[in-house]
Amino acid sequence: MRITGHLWKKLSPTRRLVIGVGVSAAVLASAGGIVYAALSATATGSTAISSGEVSLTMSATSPSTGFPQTLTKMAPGDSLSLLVKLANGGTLATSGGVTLSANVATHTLLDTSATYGLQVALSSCSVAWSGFTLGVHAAPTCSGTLSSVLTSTPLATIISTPAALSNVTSLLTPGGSLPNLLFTITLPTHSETTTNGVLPSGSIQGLSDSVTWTFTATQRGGQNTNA
Amino acid sequence: MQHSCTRALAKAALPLAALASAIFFPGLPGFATIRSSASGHSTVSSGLFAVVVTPTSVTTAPHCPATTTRCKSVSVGGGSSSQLHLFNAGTLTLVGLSYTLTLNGGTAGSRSVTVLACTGPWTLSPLSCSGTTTTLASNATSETFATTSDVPKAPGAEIYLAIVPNNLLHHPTTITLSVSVCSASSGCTNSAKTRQIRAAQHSNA
Repeated sequence: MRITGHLWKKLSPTRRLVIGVGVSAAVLASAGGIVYAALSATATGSTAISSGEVSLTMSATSPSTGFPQTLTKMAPGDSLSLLVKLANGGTLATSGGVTLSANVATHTLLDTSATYGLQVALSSCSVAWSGFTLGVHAAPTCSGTLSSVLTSTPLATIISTPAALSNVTSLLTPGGSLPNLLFTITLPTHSETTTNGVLPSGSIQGLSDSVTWTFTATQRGGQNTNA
Repeated sequence: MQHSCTRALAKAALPLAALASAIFFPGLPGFATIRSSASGHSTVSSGLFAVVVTPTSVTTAPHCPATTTRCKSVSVGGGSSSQLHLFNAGTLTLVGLSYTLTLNGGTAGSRSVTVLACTGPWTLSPLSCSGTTTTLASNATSETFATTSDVPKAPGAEIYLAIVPNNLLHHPTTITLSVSVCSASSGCTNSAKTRQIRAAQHSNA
């Protein structure tokens, strides 16, 4: 069919577009056929590529029972410690850093007050902690090298912004670990007076928080390899 | 028409370019990085320190009419004594308690009370108690004092106080007793700044 200039002008823009696309496709298809017929020789190469893995695990360090943990009837100044081991079981370095975040199901003053609410601190000891005895009210001590991984930080702050951990170099390389990490939760010392059984306004008494603590390791930065 | 085609092409090119960059340059910032997480869970609750006094105040009937110039003397336990019940409604063990005693009515200086504590309920007339009794305050007018004895220390513990008028009372006198528990040795709102809950402790778990 021949479409004269007169006929072309009579066609609607949509029909012109359909015809144009059809003609273009036909031209491209035939051109491709020609090229395929002409270039029948091929050269191939192969690469074996596998992706790395970042795998952070946490387990209890004996004699601690680790997580999960329940502590009731905390008084101002009370603290709870447990021992955990963090391990990089992946194949990628985690030089992107390690953070601690937290979230709670229902908010109370324990997790919203940076002054009176719960605080968390992390310390690492190069050797096993001394004086860590279950059921005994005594803080453990480190006879080796003591490193602060996270200074005492309000839970409210960690919920708002995950805390970047320090002195976690041993976690950065695949297979590395932090075996003697002391995780301490504290209810800060606080002056409060209860009169005739009536709690003062803004009291930290009789509250309960269900907290999920999450350590997160991030892969090293992407890199280009020339081979 | 030409402009709209250009805009359409530009819209299509952007995601294609992003896809190509993600494939060939995965390390460029702005694209997803691999993270791994390990989580633990803890349930933490704070305790309660609370002692409830019931009733908080009692009014003693006068021993004789106000117009009477001479009243017969009343000995301790012989007058119109009253009883208060103190109950540890909290969950924390206490080591002390602050008592604030206030007398209203009658003539100041001519009235005072003695406060006796007992581990069991009082029989008011005649005044007696089957448990261990101690004297919490003698000839008290209005005062605040802290004590580590006569305290319902354990959660659920209770003690009973007998308020005994000492002097001759011509007018009804209202005796109010307020009990306070303070969590620290300083900064408490009551005047007796003594730590009255158990000392802070560290738990290993």
